[in-house]
Amino acid sequence: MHKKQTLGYINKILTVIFTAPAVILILWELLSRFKFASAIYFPSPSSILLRFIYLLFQDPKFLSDILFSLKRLVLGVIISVPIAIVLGLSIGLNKRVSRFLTPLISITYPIPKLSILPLLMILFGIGDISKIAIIAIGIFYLVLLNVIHGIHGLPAVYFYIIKIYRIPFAKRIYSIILKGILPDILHGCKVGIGYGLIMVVASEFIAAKNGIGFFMWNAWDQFRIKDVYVGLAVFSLIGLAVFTLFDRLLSKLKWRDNSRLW
Amino acid sequence: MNNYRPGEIVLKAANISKVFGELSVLENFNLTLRQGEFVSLIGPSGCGKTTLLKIIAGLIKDFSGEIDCQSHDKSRLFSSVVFQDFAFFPWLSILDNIKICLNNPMSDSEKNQLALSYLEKVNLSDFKSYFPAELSEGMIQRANVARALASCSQIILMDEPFVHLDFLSRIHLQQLALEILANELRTVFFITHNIHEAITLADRVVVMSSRPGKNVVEFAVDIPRPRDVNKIREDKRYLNLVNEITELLTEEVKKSQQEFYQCIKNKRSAI
Repeated sequence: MHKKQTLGYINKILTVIFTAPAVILILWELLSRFKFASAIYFPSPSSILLRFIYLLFQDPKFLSDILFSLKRLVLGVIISVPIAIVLGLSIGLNKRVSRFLTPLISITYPIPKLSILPLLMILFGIGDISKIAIIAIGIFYLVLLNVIHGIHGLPAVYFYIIKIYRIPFAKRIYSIILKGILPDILHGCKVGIGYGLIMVVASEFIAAKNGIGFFMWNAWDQFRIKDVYVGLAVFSLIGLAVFTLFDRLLSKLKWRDNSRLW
Repeated sequence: MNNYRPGEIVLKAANISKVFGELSVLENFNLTLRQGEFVSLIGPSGCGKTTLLKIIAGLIKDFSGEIDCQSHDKSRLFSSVVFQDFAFFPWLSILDNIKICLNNPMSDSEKNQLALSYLEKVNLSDFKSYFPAELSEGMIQRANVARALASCSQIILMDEPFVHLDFLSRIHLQQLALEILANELRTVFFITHNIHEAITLADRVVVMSSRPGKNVVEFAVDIPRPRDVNKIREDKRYLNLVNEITELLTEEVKKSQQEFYQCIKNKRSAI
């Protein structure tokens, strides 16, 4: 019994350690500890962690930078996701709207979103509005395309049922279409927010006074390499949180076949 | 629930034709359905049976011919359909799947009661809160029948509803259909390519030709109800009907095969 328990603990620890990030961090730590890698360009993960903790508790500007970036990201999501869902529903469900709008999406989607930033800065100035706009645009397309894809993926027989049993509009949209494409919406948000983070950092590189992107740009400017890594860590932690959140939500949908989600 | 006189014509389809591109699927097909009648439509595969059903259900709008359903009370659903694939929304429980299709002005508790009463009739009341993915195919198809019945539609259209089921579930469902429909006196239009099933269940069997679907002949099944799926197989009238229809259909299939080979030959010589 005792032995089994210890084996269980060892197993648990092993599963946590034996993931790619953990292995890479350990190797990195060893390489820089034993001076195989330059400590200036590749400071050890432990020293980066210490710096991160120091900044978090000692430097109020750092914490406010994180909050500014998060605020932009959240506002971008709040603005883009509802518009993307409503537009996606109308394109996916209505032939005329689709004929009218699909060409517009086809020509605007391939434009690298960052290349619109200069234009947005001319239109809205270099303040928060242009930044939030570019983040929202980045998220918008991915959610929109996922919503349309989700609707096209619903079996034709669902639409037969809607027609035959005369299911009223509100019920049709809420209980059937939206619930049916919920996995696609969540997936779109997950990928979209990842893309939104790119927009956050890029927009903060240019003409910003705060935000993690600004913090990293400053660090680069003043050759504080550790802080550049700290900035990267912040972004990957936000990314991890977003991915975990949406994976949790997806696995909550009990009606789906979740056997392929580990 | 049924304020229609038995025997009253509920649907009269005249000269129904449908062409998909260059492919003529239905040609001048005629069909009359009377209140309380169970009509089976049988024909070789690909002859346009499902197309006809979709036309009657209003899912296909561009066809030629006339569909007359003048006696239809507009406040009631005209048709409900039991599809051959398991047309349930996987994110709703079985009970909710049925309730979402009840769109008459009813309170929620009335809907609940109605849905539950039909789930009980198909012996599924214990599974009302299950998701479709948690049920077997036979159970889903039973729930499908319950949904069609609960919607109180004037006619129930069934498109090979038992085709995906194993032999035993099929027999079980046929027996269930016989029992429920005997009590409810619903008008049912039942598509199948299983001759035994067609005769066992129906008052009248309509035979459709191979593509393009035309009327061939109609048989009245004058075997008294209540019927028993197993016992009916020993009935002489049943056996005669099976033989007659089998012969007819075999010829139809032969014809369509000859046409098919001719078509291939023509294509080859064109190359």
